[in-house]
Amino acid sequence: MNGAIDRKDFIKTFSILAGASMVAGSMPWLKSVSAQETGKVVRLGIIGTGSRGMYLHLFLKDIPNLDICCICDNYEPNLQKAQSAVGPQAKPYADYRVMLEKEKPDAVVIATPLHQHAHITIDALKAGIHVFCEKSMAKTYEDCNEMVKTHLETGKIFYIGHQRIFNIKYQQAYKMISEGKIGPVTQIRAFWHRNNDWRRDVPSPDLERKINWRMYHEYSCGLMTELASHHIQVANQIYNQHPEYVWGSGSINYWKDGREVYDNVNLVYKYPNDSHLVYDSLISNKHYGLEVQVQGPKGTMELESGKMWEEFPPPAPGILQLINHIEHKVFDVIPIGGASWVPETALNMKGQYIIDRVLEDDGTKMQMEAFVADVRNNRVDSEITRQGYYSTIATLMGFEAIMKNEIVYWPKDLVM
Amino acid sequence: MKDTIITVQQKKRELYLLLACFIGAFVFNIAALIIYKSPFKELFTQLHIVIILTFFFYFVVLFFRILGWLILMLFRKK
Repeated sequence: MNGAIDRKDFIKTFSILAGASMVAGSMPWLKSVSAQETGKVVRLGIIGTGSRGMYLHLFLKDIPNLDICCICDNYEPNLQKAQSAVGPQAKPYADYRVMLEKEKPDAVVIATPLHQHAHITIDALKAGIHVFCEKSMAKTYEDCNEMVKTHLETGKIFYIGHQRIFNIKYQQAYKMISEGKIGPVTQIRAFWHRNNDWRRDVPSPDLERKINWRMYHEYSCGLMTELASHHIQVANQIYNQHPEYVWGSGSINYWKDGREVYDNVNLVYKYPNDSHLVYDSLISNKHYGLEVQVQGPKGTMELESGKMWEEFPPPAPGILQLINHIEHKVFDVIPIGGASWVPETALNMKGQYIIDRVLEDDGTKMQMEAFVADVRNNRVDSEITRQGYYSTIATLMGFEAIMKNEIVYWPKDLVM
Repeated sequence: MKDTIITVQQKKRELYLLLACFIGAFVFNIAALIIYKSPFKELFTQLHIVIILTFFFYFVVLFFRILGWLILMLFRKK
């Protein structure tokens, strides 16, 4: 069955999930998805119209009663491309402050480089504008704290772009985990492997740091903030707590092209339940791709591929076992050779799918719809903010750990 | 070429033989449930295997019947 899932399917599936009280309690944002449409038009601006901003636009443009009234980017080619894509009704700006002042949209989507997330978010929230900010939240602990503090003080909606929160496959997996299908989770392993230099084409050398900002510590924390934060958020949600501490190591061992950020990172996060998240990311080999492996004494789940395996699958039916036994008795004496056609146990090595459909939406579509629904209904959900906040804090801890080669502990002075 | 006539008696004999093979396969399934302590529901869920086994038994018996008939033919010619 194909996965062209719409909100009705999503709500139906989520209403089943919401029946599991632990799941509902830990995912209050389910209400966002089922929020009634009031028909009120939401005016929205996009700040940062590069690749990610325009990717989010693909989903925003299909949301009914949403007016993308303005766009902003301080890189002219991106702004021009965005104007063609979004349409002439969206007024273009090079300075987000001017845009916020003149347009006063109901909400903004921020998809700028990481180092710009904090001040744009804070300015927007203080201007009374709801914010969707791409992950990771910010580049420093101080910026994260200031953003969350501003969210709490202004009472405005503040989403951080962790789309797996809205991915049905992940939510179904959490439900199965909470029902004990794999037993207590004793370890999570996650990895994200790619094989490319992570660079974008630069029309002129003086634009190198602007366009390839992910390479430089002034603007980015590299693989940690760009990739790891997703899986750290998932691990936090599965364990239902944040890590106590982290240690790790990283280096540049392949892409020695003048970049500052590491091309491979390896970390271990320790959680209060005495379990760990073992994480690695590298961009010099893509054989294993990306995966989140959730392990327990009764089974294993792989959340990216959406499968589950039982540790002790039920044996084959008795009649098949008896046929196998007799066959071995007969043919082990006669040297015909060859494998038995009947397995001794019904080893389900192929695993079973967590959900019965292939999803086209990785959660991004639902996330954008939920955000706009919340803006329309003025529904503030600080739990969504907390998920992004804790994920980013843990991410920054990991970055600090690999840079200093030290164990880094969960900060004590957080805002929530 | 002559017409082949299968009498009612012959048909009944083959059907009784098939029934006996089915009973044998069914008993085989019961024995398997007991030996391997499988759930009772396999009496029904594995009927497709029982049917396959029925025809397997039937063709094994058929093989020996044909062999016996050939040997008999040999003696009669002598």
